[in-house]
Amino acid sequence: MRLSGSNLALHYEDVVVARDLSIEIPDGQVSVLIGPNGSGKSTLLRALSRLLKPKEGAVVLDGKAIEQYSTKEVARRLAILPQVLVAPESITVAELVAYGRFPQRRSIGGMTDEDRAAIEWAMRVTGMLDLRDRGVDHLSGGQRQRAWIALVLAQGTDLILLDEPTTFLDIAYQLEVLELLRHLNEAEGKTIVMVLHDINMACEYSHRLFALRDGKLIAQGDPRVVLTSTLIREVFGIDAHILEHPTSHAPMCVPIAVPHAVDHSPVPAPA
Amino acid sequence: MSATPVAAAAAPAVPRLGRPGLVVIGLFTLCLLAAFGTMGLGAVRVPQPHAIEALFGHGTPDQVRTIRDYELPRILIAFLVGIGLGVSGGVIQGLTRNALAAPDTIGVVKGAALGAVILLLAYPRAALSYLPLAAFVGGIAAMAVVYLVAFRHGGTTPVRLVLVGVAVSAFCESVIRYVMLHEAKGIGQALVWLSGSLASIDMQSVYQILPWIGVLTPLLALFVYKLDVMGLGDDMAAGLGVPVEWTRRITLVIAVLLASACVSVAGSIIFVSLISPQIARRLVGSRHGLLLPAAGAIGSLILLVSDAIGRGADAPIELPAGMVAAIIGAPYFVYLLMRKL
Repeated sequence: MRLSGSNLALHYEDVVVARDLSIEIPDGQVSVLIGPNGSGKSTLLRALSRLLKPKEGAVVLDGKAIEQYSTKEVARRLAILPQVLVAPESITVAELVAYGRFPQRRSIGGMTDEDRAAIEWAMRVTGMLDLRDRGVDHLSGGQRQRAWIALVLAQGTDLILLDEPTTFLDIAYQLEVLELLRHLNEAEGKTIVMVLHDINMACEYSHRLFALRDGKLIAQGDPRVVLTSTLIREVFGIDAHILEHPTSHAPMCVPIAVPHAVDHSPVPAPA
Repeated sequence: MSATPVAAAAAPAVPRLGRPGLVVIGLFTLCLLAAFGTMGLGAVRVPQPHAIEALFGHGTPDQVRTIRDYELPRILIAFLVGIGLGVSGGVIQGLTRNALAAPDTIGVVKGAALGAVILLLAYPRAALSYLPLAAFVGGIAAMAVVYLVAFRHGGTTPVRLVLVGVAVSAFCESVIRYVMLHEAKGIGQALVWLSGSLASIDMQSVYQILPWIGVLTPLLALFVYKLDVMGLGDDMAAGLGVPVEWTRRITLVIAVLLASACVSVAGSIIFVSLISPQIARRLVGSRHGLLLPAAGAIGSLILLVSDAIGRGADAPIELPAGMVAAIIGAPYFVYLLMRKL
């Protein structure tokens, strides 16, 4: 196990998001964090990728506390695709993907053949080669997300973390992105950890599901085992039927709308 | 990496440097042409080619004196201050990811002006020789206040820097006006300085600013790639291994030192630092390795032309270069914005 967090206390600005949270990321698998808004799933992902420093506890990467690495060294071992992505004006796909080589590059000096090969490979595997000279602002939602995934792939790490990679995408693009990530896991052996909002997508595409609520890990394991109506009630506060996907046999959650049963009190902003 | 990448295809993945690189060289050539071309256009006309000959010591003593003592320092200052302001604006716009951010909008220029005004009016006798120092201190102090107020939860955000900067600018501006309302004497001098005039420039000013531009601008070369990566957002940059807050702090300090040094010798020249990077971005794109040199060259070009117009157009009255730059720059800026929409 390369990445884990133990007894983490996490704060987002002044708000306590989690205390004493522990998690172990299984190597070579797809792990998905689910939970309601404010449950701490994004905050946990940020802590695992050292974008957020835990108040207590430690994130351990390859047997060493993550703060003991230089930030470039972390970036050579682990890639993170944040939720908020900013593409500079009029940048092309190839230029964007090239930024993935920053951790390997010296501050002065051009690209090596290895850099070029990694960029080329990342664009090929994400199907972006034909679009390499296209401006990022001229891509469809799914293509744009694939370009960003190509950027983190160009980093060349086996560990890839993604914060809600399918948000803002319609269902066809969601499938496009998730199929790509599944392919990267199966064909390239990448360890994938991501936050998803859609429970059914999470069950379909994960080997291991982590369900969070109020900064606590309520359940974890194979979605076929852990996804129950009890869990849905406990984590999301709603009643739901659990069905089986007709072809993939992954569990599916179909909510039962009960008027007035849903708590409409304001929820904290997503962390 | 688990899979060995197949050998890269023939086409290089690196974006080509060609055209934008040539644009930068072209811009600096234009600066040189402007520097020589505008020589001799002051209140005392020295027609070409006599102006250039006078620079090298040929011609009447009057011509030589006019060019060497009066025009040369101004041209050198316009060149250096233009670079400083353009580069400083380019860095600040990149850091804040805000096209309206520049040393003048985020507090540095107004802070420097306040420093100078306070000195001019509080100690009228100490004035002139300490003016640059007071402006320098004022600019840095204003930016320190902006950074500290914008700093929360272990870092700053681009938006907070800009908002706090605008507030601090407005505050300095109000204090300047208040002081000037109450202290009638010394206003004329302060006004000329505030409008960014290069009239009282001599070689001393050139020697004052040269080390700042000469050291700080090359230093930025170490950070251009990090600044590019920070254009992808703070989180993505941190994920790629850029020490985001540290880079932001050090490049901001460099930009503020540059701008303060410029304002301290040339007065409050506004607009050049805002508009030069904008034009540069349209010409060479947003990669800082090209953007910053281009912004510097454009800043120089604007100031060289503005100061030439300022000293020649309405002679013997001197129009401050800063004022001319704003008069030319504002409509052009609006044109750029309209064209984009």
